[in-house]
Amino acid sequence: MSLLQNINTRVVPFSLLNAEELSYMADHMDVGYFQKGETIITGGGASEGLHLILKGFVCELEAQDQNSSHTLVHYGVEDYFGAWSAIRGKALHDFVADEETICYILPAKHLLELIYRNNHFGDYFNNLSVQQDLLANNNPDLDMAEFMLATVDTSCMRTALVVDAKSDIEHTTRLMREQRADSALVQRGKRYGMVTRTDLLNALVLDKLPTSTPVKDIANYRLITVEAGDYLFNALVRMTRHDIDRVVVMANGQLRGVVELAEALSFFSSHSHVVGMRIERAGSVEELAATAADMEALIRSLHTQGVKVRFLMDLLAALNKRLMAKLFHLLVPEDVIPHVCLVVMGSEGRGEQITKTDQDNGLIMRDGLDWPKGPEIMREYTRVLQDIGFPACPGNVMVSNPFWVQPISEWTKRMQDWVSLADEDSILKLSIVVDAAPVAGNPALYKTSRNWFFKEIQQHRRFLSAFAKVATVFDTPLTILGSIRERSNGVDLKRGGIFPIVHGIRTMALQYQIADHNTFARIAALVDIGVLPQRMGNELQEAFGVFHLLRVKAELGRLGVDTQQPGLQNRIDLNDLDRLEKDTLRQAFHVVKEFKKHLALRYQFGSGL
Amino acid sequence: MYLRRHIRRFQDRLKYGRRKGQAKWRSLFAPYRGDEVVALDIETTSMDVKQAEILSIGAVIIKANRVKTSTGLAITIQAPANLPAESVKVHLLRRVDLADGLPLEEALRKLLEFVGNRPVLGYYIAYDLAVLDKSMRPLFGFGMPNRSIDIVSLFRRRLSARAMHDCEMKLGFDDIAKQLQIPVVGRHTALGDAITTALMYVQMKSGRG
Repeated sequence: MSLLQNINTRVVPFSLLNAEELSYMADHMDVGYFQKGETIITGGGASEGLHLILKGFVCELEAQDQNSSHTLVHYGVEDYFGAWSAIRGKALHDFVADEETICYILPAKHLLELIYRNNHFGDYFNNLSVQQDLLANNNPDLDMAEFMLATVDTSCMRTALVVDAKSDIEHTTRLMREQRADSALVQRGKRYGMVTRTDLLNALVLDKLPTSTPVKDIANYRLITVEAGDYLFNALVRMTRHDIDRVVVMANGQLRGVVELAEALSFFSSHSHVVGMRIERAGSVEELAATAADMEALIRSLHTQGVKVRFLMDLLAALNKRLMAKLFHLLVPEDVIPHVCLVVMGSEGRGEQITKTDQDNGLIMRDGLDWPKGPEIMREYTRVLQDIGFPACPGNVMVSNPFWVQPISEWTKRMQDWVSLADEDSILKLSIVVDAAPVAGNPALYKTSRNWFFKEIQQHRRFLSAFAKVATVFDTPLTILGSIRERSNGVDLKRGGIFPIVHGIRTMALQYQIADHNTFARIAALVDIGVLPQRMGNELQEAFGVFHLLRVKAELGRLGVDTQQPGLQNRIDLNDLDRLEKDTLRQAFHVVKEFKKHLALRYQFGSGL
Repeated sequence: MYLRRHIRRFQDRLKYGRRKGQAKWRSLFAPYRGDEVVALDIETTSMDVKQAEILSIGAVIIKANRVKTSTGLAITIQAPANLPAESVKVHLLRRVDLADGLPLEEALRKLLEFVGNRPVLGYYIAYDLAVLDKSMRPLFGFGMPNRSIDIVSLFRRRLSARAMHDCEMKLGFDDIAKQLQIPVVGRHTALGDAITTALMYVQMKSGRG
């Protein structure tokens, strides 16, 4: 349409849009005219949408007191403003026309639709942490998790180079070079033997065999194989166990190909779409439920194979996220989805759980969204999740509870209230909320409120101190002599170890505007920006890993026995641990103690240790 | 011409505004009570009303200081039997461009539904209305029922109010846009010109500069 002629689509953020998105934008824009001195957006009021200046000048003013204000930003032709405020529901500052101004206005509703289609476009308006978000999207740990779900198929294996029994070393070497293969399989009747480059080199140089020696004489016939369709992860485990660089892929006794170590490893960096293929494919709630059941078995088997707890958590978090998103899409009408954002909170938000924990979720809606069926659908969502195996949250932090389903301006207002109240209940609620991670719907709504909160919290140093202090409310279970102190019902890993680390790191992440949710990732980010000493960061990560490992051990060991008993899953009996484990646990508690002191110093409250 | 249109509008209102059976159109003749205005522009084959055939119609609603471009109306009409080369050069609407156009009657029906009984605004609007009336009468029995606002007379009045007789009055479309410092949106497309006219109107109504 003609409106596009007057928009420079070669500059960001509009250059991020494709032709179809641009014409969507042009079709939904109005033109506004403002006189000199006229207030376009009032601070504290709503912004109509994205304003793109066609002609004129606009100032962003920050009110200082009743009568005076100072200019923060000048906007000229082709500049845009008001997008962030429109998503947030409320503007922070006044926007005033400095001279007669004509601008295009894309209403918030359509802006969100556009952002939902094109995430990069949305990130542009949340300028606070674009880089962080881009980084978060390329989280290598997530790849690790996704990698483990990849199966052995044609995408990761190569066709085996098969030579017949009569081939000699020279002929085989030539073929390997031609086909750029690192190994060859010798067929001897129905059996196969493997010859690698190293085998050839050893035969020629060390054993001084002539190049006319048949390769069948130097081949190794005890092949290590995997079945096609098995997890690629298993192939990797097998290679590690046997200290070899490749395994042969078989399907029903037939040779299919070879998986090379290098190629399997390359999946770490390049593979990102296999996760939850089944979840994505599920067309009904029943199919989803079946997938959920398999997930638990997968986690158990990976655990027994010795996969690091951290990767298990990542994997489960990735799977749960997909599953919840899928269910959301199955239940919520398509036209509503760009205007809402489902977030998971608490440990689920941080991606730190091994077994399926309680549902902790909420919904951020666009201001003024008219969705009368919302409450009903959200109740249904909670109910189905429960059926699938996510227990209801005892604190009722769920979308079935209208308290946790609010328009964005209500969310932010509420968080503001909690910060100024700073009582026990507020701090508890904030702890849950600041770990929120978007799962389905339009993540721009989540990012906007998070960025707002990051800004807001900077003005409340006292609050941060009160918030941090909570990390020290539980004693570290160490005796004066430095050994582990055990109560009659065991050692509480959560209160003694996990909680102080999670909460302390959470406070620091909040202060330094770290967008990550996961405690491991938050620690790494805090070390990166230099606010946490490298040594302490490493120790904290290790200690955190230890607590989780022991907790998982206890949990999986007990699974199905007495997990119903509340509070028990976080306690372990020292008698169940071997010497090494006990020692590690003791050291981990010492790290926690050290960290608490660090917090006390940093946020200036008495350590009370 | 203005007076003649006025009389015919009055007659139309007596006839169609009251008669039962034509309920569909009756609301068009009711006096308008809202605060919206519709900027309108049509592209035609000739500057002579008698010969002119409508090629395309553009219209956009103005509410307060907003031009509702998102709901703008842009219609092309099936090519008339004769499409003079001159008009092709101006509007760049060739026969092929009009191939997907609507039949005239349907186009006018859409226009009436869009405009309703709001006042219409245009650049030398009398001409546009004359052509529309001429095309409409044989089909519906009445002409455009709306009150009209001409941007040129508004502009002229504004200039004389400011006692700027000494400077030469330039009343070309682009001249007005330039003097009002309005960016020209898509010149010589019906919708584009309607939007520019709308902006001129908003500027003159609310602007002081």
